[in-house]
Amino acid sequence: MARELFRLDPRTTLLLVAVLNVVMFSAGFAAGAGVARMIFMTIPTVLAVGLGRWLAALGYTTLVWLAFSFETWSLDVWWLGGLNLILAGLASLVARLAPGIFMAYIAVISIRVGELMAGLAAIHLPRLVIIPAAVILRFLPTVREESASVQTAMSARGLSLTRVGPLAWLEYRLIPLIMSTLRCGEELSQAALTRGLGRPVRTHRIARIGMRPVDVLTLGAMVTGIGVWIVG
Amino acid sequence: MSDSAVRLSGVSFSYSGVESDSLAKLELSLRPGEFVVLAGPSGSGKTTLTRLINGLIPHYYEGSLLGQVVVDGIDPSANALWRLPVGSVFQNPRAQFFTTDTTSEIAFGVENLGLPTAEILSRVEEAISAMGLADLRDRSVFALSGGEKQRVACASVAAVRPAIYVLDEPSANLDLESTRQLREIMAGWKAGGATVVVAEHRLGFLRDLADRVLLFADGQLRTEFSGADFRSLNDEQLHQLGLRSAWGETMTATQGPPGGDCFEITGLRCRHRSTHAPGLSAPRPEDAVHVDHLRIPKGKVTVLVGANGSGKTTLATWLGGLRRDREGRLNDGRRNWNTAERRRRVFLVLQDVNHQLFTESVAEEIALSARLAGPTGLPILSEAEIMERLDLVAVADRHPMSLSTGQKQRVAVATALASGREVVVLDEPTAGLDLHHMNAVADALRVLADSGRTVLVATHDIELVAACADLVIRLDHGILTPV
Repeated sequence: MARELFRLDPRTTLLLVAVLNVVMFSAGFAAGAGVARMIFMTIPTVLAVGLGRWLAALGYTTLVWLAFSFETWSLDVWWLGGLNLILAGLASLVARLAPGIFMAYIAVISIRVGELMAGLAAIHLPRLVIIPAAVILRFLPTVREESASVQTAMSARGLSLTRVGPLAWLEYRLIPLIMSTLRCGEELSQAALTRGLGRPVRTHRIARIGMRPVDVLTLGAMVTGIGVWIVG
Repeated sequence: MSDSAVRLSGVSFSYSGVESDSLAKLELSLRPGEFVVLAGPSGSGKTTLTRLINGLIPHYYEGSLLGQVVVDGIDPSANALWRLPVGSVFQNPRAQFFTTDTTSEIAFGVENLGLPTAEILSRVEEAISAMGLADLRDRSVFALSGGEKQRVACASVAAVRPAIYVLDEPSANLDLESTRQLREIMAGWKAGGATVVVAEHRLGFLRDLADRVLLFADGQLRTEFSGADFRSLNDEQLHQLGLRSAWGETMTATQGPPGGDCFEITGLRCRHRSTHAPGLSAPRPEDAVHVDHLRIPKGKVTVLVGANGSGKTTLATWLGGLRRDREGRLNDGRRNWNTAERRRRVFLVLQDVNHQLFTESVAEEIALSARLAGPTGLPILSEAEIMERLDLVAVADRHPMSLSTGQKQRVAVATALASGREVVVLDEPTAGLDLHHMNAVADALRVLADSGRTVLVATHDIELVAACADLVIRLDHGILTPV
């Protein structure tokens, strides 16, 4: 399957999330730093397209390049005065935050829970870290599913923002969601406990992890970006 | 080894915060290899007994436990939960998966045993082939049907090779075909010599497997039947015991095309819709529907039957105005209802009733619907009258979330009645309900129809059909077929 080619090893993904954020927030305005940022801005676009998320990739890429261009350009043009400062600050914030957020989104949609557990175990993290991390990753799609169901149920009952007011709307939206998510959480813990989670043995996980061409390419791009940043 | 798989002597248990005993003075011994069915109404103590065997009591649920429990020679109270050789399958297939893809899920329990990778893989393969799951390998669990999820859950448990299997209402959300597949899996466990304990309301598929049937009521073991004695009971005798039918698995209620005033659906085409499943590329399909012509009589209860995946839910959500498929018309005899109008005039009760109760009391829930009600040509009942007719007066001040599933369904019907909408569509309103609650829901549907509402119920509960249907229609792979 073509999309499988673009799924990174979970460790590469997590490293990328971390390094990308460091670059975005530390890189200044020198020429090398700008190129480094462009490289790291582009990696999530390529990964998202590879995973088949065309629309998300298009939206992210447009937004981040607009913001980045404005941030860079506005340094030279001061004719807007005070407004310029505000806009430039805003653009800078978007240009530096968006890649990290989008990369986190890619991590959530591409890492499987089994792979995450295998990957984190392979770098010898304690179970105290692995299990909560796995539970969070497992739970995000459930929250999204439950949230969509509550939204559907509200539409069916005719509970729209305009008819019930913002406070009541928020209450109706959140309370059933919290209730059902809590219940799912309880059932999930029970199922996991009865299936031996917590047995004090060293576990082997069968999820296949390891370096593949896409990991090598990604790491290569990361090294290049950091190299340009340091040299430039 | 001990001579009984499970032994309980003088066991009473009450959950913390609850005064009455959920199980009282239970004496019970299960032989190794025995297939035992726990029957009885909701709240009778069946589920509590399953939790005593799989160790969730006292390791997850706190409370006061008296007497002695021994599971395969081990006292669950004095040992960590993972020492018990018990595999558990639960009611809700959605919430018992720890991972997000099927193969990892089947491996999860075996991985936790700490076995080497090769052994894990061979056990996973064994479970996959023993249960015929080859086509479900490496799929996203979010893209599976309820029946497929339950088979994966069974495989995951079986790969650990437990001596005892405990299942708590495993068929509650399954259609007939999936239930039959579940039966085959359990028959395999029985043939392999495992002890199997199943708490269930639906008894038909367990009838021939049961070595013993234990009947619970109010936390007490009331009676027990040998398998042969149980099989000699007819449906009438089962109903007198408060149990669901064990025989009626074929549809009988059929009638000719309806006369009188009808809603008409014509030329409806709903296409498969798919959304991305997280972490995997497999799409989650929404079932297609292809209905050329369908008449739904006004003021009657029409039951729509069909397997999971036959398009019942798609049709229900289209009727409720929650899908925008352009092709297809709903005509009330004078004019067509467009999407916005369907959304305003059709009341939809969705599959998981928990998502659609929003307020802090039953009375408030009904008042909310009444407040939002638009103009209607139908008789308007007062809120008090609605509660009276749906037997909700006693729980008027209770929080909807504190009610039983059957009561919640009746509250949902009450909100439908208060909304004044002319058409009420319900999706699987009796999943997992016992005989008493199923009958109460059937009565509630009759109340709707008697108040002039047109009712359409999508279900695979054959007994609900017998209890309330004026007309039965069947959907098969999205196409209407004769019943």
